[in-house]
Amino acid sequence: MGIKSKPRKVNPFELKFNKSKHDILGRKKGAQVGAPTQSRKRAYEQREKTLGVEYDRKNKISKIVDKRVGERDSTKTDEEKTAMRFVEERTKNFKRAAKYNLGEDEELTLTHGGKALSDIEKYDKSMISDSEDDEDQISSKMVKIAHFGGGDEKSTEDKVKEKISREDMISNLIAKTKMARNEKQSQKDELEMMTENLDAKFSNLMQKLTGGFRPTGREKLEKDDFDKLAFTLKTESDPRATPANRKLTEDELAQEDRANLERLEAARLNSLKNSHQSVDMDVDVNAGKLAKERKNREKSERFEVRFNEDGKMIREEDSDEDEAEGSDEEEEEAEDSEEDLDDLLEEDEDELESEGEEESAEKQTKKKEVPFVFEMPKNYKKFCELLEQYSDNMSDVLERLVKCHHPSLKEGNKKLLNKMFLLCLRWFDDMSREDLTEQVIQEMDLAQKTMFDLLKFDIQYGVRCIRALIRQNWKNRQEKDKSTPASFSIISLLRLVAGLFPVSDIWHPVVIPAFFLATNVISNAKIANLRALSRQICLAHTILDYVSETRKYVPELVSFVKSALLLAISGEKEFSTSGFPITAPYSEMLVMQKPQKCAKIAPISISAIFDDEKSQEMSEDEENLKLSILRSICSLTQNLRVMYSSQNETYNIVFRPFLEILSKIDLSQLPTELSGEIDELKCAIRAECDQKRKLTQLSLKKTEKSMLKMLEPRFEWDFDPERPNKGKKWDEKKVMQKQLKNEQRGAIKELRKDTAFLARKQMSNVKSRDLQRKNATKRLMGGLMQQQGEWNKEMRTKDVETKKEAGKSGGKR
Amino acid sequence: MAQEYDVVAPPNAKRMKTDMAFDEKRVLYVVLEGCSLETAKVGGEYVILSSDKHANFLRKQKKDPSDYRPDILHQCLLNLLDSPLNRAGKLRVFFRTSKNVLVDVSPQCRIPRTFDRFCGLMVQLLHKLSIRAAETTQKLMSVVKNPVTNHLPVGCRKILMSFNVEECTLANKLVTPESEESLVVVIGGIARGKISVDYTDSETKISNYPLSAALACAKVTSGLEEIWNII
Repeated sequence: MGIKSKPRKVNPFELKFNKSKHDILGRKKGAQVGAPTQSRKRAYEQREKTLGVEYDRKNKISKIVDKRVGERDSTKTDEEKTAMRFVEERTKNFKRAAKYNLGEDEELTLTHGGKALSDIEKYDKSMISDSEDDEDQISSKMVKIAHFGGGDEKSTEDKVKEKISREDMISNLIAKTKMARNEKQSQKDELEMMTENLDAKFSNLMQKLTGGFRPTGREKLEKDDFDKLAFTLKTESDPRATPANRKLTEDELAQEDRANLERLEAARLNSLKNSHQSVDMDVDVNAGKLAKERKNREKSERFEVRFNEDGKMIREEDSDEDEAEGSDEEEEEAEDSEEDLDDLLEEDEDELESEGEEESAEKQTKKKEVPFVFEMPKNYKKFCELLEQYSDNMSDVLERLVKCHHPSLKEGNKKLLNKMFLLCLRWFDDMSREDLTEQVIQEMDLAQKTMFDLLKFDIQYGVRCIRALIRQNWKNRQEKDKSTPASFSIISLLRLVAGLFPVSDIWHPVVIPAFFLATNVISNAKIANLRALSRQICLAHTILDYVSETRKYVPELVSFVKSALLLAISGEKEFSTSGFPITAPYSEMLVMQKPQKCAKIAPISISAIFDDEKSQEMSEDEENLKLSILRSICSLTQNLRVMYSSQNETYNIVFRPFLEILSKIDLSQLPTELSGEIDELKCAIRAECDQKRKLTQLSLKKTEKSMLKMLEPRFEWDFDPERPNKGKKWDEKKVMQKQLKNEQRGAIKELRKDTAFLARKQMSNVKSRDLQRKNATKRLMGGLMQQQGEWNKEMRTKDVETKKEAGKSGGKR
Repeated sequence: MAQEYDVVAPPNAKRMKTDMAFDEKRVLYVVLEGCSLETAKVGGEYVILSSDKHANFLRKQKKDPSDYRPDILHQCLLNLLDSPLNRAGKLRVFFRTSKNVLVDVSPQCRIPRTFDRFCGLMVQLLHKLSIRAAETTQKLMSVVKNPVTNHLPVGCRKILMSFNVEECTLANKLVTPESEESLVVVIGGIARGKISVDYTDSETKISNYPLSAALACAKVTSGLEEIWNII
């Protein structure tokens, strides 16, 4: 063996040497030398063993395989073979558990059907009992007796009988089995019957018991005091459950009001007739009157707080606004009646003229005392008369009119109220066109209040009326007075809209047209004198109120304020004046000619502006008015500044021009109070502008020095030169394709080699067979030739002999 | 391509073929000859052989440890690529190892500062034959084909730095300020001895004292910065 394992020395001419390109120190060199002939030989031998054998067995159907132990081993002797067989047999029967049973190995046990005979005997009884359950088969005992019977006395007798007749015996046997079966069956039935009986009894008993058990499930909760109380309130007619005084609906309230008024009216008439008043009545009437008076007083007081006797306001802005509000309302009313609803009014008047007269006559008689129930006036004239009649208690009259004609009381009341709204509007408008007195303003306020109340009943009608009024004003401005400054009626109309409707809505059918009207007026009006300017300022304040909540940007307003400020600058102007049209002589109307030292600057008085008569007087006091106007403009600017302070992006664009204009105003001419205000304004605007000037242009960051950009090399921390593509993400499909290709190539190569091997083998077979045949032929031919030769030889000798014999015989003859 | 450079384009930047007249002028080419940069598998790991770390290994392999000095190359490359001349885009560097591997170093390559890391990078270079930038695919080092003259401009002056010559030129007199030509300087990246190459025109020294390779590189670059007015 030792000699075999030693490698055979290979012929050096059969070796192939590999050249290494990159020599790396420390790396193990792979196979540097190969022996191709050796490997080829190995492959041939392998094929011979596998493919060659298969080829040899080609077209052969069966083969005999000797599986006897050791039979194919020629080295073994017969004795050895038998020993091997014995060992095989023993190992086959060897059980693992048996190896602990020492000494029992040699005991041989007899078996039957794989079971030890002793076992079978042991379990004989149990087997019999088992088989008894099996009803289909004849009991094994009987079988035993039948088959192996003998020895018993009985059995001997049977045997004798058996000899007599075999058939009888068999029938006997069958009968016995049947009997046994029946017996068993009856026993079983009995048992079943008893069980059923017991079951029925038990279920019966259980049914009786179930009633006594407590029901399963949740227990009821005990009611607490609250539940009990709630229950009693719900079910029983507890006095506490019924409300003492039900909340009245709107209709019911209105009815009650009306009833109340009627009751009072009846009492009044009664008292007039009797000229005797019960104490109660008197108190009641007086109380009503007192209440009315109180209301009036309150209203007038409210006005007094804001206005002076002349209509001047204590604070400039407030007064302006208030006045404007009042006037707004009035205007709106007027317009409506004129435009849309004039015709309606007229019709009404015609129809009901006669009645109206009667009424007026009645009313005149009761001039002093205010009745509690009114008929709705048929036309505007009557309405005015009615109001004039009770000029002291106008508010009461209006209030009662509304109450008496609540829409829930009668079918046509809604229409009447609509008409009343129209009348009020007209009244308001007329008032706004009259001379401005405190009385007028009060009445306008009253009209607005009434309209506000009426608007609740039919808002759509109210909207229609006021829109009509606005439209009329708009048309007026488009056609006739395009460039006149705002009149008191327009301003009061705007104020009315502001008072009746929400101005902060993005879209509103009344507010938006009103707003357009206002902006149109403020940007188009020509300003020819100080009064016009102050009117426009009044309008500007109104517009400011409109947008103060929404902070909407109004370019007309901003440019108006800017242009108004420009009027205070003397000399050449490098600013554009786009706010409103203005001509040369008036463009410096606010410039002070001489230093003013007025200690107190009075606010602009409303009556002074809007009253034509007073205008003459005002002209004397022109310098003071200039100061007031300038101050008012300053306050406007201040308001704008505060309002638009949230506009971060556009603030600078809007207010930087203001700053420039303000800095151009000659402060030396102005009184200290005003100049201080302007200075403050300038400071505020400048601070805000500076704060919001954050906008810087984007620009590329410039490097200090232009230079080459250095790049960090890609460093792989776990670089392994032996597996350079370790970290690389391979495409799975590509990898598979490559593997497939490699395998395919290898398989093709192998198949080619196999084919070549088979061809060679076939060829060698053919050659060997040819050779064999040739040899056989040769041998045959040789044999034949030999035979022929022998034959020839024999023939030749025969010939010679015959000739000799012939010669002899011839000679003999 | 132009966006990748911060104003200055490296001398090896790709350009359109149309402007044939355009030739990179005034560029210093430095060739470090005979650098010792050899990988070996020591203890299951591939490393760059260095005299102090792998002395025993080298002795076992019957090599002289003093021949394995990759730190010289490291220093030289640091000096060259950090010089203002390089940042101005006027320097190109090649090095050739004692195993005849020629490497083209991109001017944009930032050489690792620590020696260990440099060695790791060089192992990668010698096995993968190129090093790319971390973020982009730009090649920062690549093994190129010999001989080195294929990569040098045609007809320019090529000087070999040697101590054993008579002629001594100061570093700031290597070229005249007027000339637009490029210059090739060959420096030996070796610890001792002399290198001999066949492609140089002349041999010179820039100091009367023997200089280390890194110092020679520094002096040459600073001298040319002076001449070409790169401050």
